[in-house]
Amino acid sequence: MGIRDNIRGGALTETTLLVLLALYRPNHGYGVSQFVVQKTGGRVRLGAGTLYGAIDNLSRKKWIAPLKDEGCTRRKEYVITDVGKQMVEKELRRLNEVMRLAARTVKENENG
Amino acid sequence: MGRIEFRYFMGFLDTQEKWINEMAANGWRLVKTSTLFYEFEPCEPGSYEYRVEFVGALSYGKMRDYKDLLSGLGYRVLTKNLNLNMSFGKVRWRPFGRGSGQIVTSPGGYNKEILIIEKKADGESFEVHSNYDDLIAYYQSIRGMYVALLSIVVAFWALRFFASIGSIPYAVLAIAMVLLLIPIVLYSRRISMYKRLGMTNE
Repeated sequence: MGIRDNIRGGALTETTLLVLLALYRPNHGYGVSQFVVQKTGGRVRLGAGTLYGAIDNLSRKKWIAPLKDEGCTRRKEYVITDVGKQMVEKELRRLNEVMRLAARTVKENENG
Repeated sequence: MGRIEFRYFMGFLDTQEKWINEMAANGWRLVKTSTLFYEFEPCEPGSYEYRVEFVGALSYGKMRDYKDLLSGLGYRVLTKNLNLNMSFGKVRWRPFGRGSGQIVTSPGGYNKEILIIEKKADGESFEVHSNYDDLIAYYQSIRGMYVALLSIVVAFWALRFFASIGSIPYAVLAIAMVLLLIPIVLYSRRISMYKRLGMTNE
């Protein structure tokens, strides 16, 4: 299940960004899913297959990494890597630019 | 009293999903699957929902990761074969697999091309694939299986036609090609629909 994580312009998909944010602290699939529902106020709910696809894809790209096996639990935990953090910061700059552009455009046209 | 049903759906994932959900709506919870049988137990009608998920392109390790993630999310997961078992010995080649998903060994991967995911009905949505990219990737993996099978049939046809090897009648090969082309076309249409939707929405 290869999921495209950035669109041509270099933007991250919302799914990718949210999964990366959820993994600033080590977390397993259920934790990521809960994080996304709570932080978006229920607006975004990741399907289980979509969540698995995102985790699989991001760990293949090494934007996130599985934690070392900590005993008997079969629930795999993941955490964001330095590369992953760089991607989030880059996306944050891009989103800020888009937001400024949108705000400026809307405002200019209100007054004109 | 439990109830055992004999069913064989070939590749018809949607039909299988619909049937299992109808059983649950009528008060029968799926408790066990084997190659050709489904075992049900009585339950409160409509208390469980099911999704049938193709995982035949995943390697055994990834399939297990996926199953663990699903159980971690609170779902119950059953495995099911897609086709009848036609393996020889302990190793089988799955032409539609990706990478190491192509070779399936026993015990493990083979006869487990499908996951049946069960969720307690709680009014919340139960979509396994929630964005267009993922829907596209998922249906591409199913279509990939049919394309791989079709190329094998075409190879048989070519061997027969150009080198007179093999003895499968042309009519049988032709029917197989048509039968495989139908799902390829249907899944392609689904894929391009999601691609169009994905152009403007994420």
